[in-house]
Amino acid sequence: MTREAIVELFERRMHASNEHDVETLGELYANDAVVESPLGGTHQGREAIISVFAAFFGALTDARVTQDALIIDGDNVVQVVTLSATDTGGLMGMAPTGRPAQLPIVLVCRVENGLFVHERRIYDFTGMLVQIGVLKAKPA
Amino acid sequence: MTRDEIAAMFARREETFGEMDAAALASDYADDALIDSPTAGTHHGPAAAAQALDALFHAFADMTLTIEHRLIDANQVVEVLTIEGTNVGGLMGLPASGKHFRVPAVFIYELRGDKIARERRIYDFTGMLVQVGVLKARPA
Repeated sequence: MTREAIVELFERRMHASNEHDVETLGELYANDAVVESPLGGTHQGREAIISVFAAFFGALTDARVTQDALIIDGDNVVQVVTLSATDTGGLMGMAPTGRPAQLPIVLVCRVENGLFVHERRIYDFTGMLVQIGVLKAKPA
Repeated sequence: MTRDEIAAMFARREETFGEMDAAALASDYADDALIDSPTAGTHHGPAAAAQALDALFHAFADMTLTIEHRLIDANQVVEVLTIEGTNVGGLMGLPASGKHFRVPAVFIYELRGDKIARERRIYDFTGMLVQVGVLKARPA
């Protein structure tokens, strides 16, 4: 893929993310794409990817991301975003806490033929759960 | 710097990290470098970088970084890695717990000339503190 095509693919994904448009998001992944996520675990294929996005947006109904950086090296791309969201729908089967979270998230991606084929999400997952009130943390 | 020069610089830094040579690692930072670290907070310049790295190597005397991917895009570099170590020297003013941690991480660098002008480290910092026994977490 050209650099311009990669930039456009990430712009389309961020727009679909901020619209919570899970069908469009799913179309941006290859049929056999693999996503490794602290929240959704390792999941493969469009249906599973759509299902995890739907659960995420169902829990964090005002979730929005803004791009901090996009680093492109051939087919390997790292996008750094800031997520802002409130737990209004309940996460991981728990009742909604109504608490907000804001944190940087890194998406380590491989793209091929205009689609995402692999994605690994790295962020302070435990810190996010503490921010939204799913976990409580105290000094040991 | 050319791509090859950047690759050589970061290969050297990987080796230097293995030797836990804080002074040599710190000498790669610009005088006004900005370093965002969950563990050490935001700090500036080579002297502060050396101090933060010294504290880290004291806390985790067996610390290792395993670089899985390194992306180079003009003056930006990203390392996707696994960090692990054992809290044998105490952390954040607390006594050593003897507990081990292992987390995936991403380090994002911006270069100016042959120096690092900005570095941002993103990983599950809260999860790391739980793993090494500095924090306790439980369902809210």
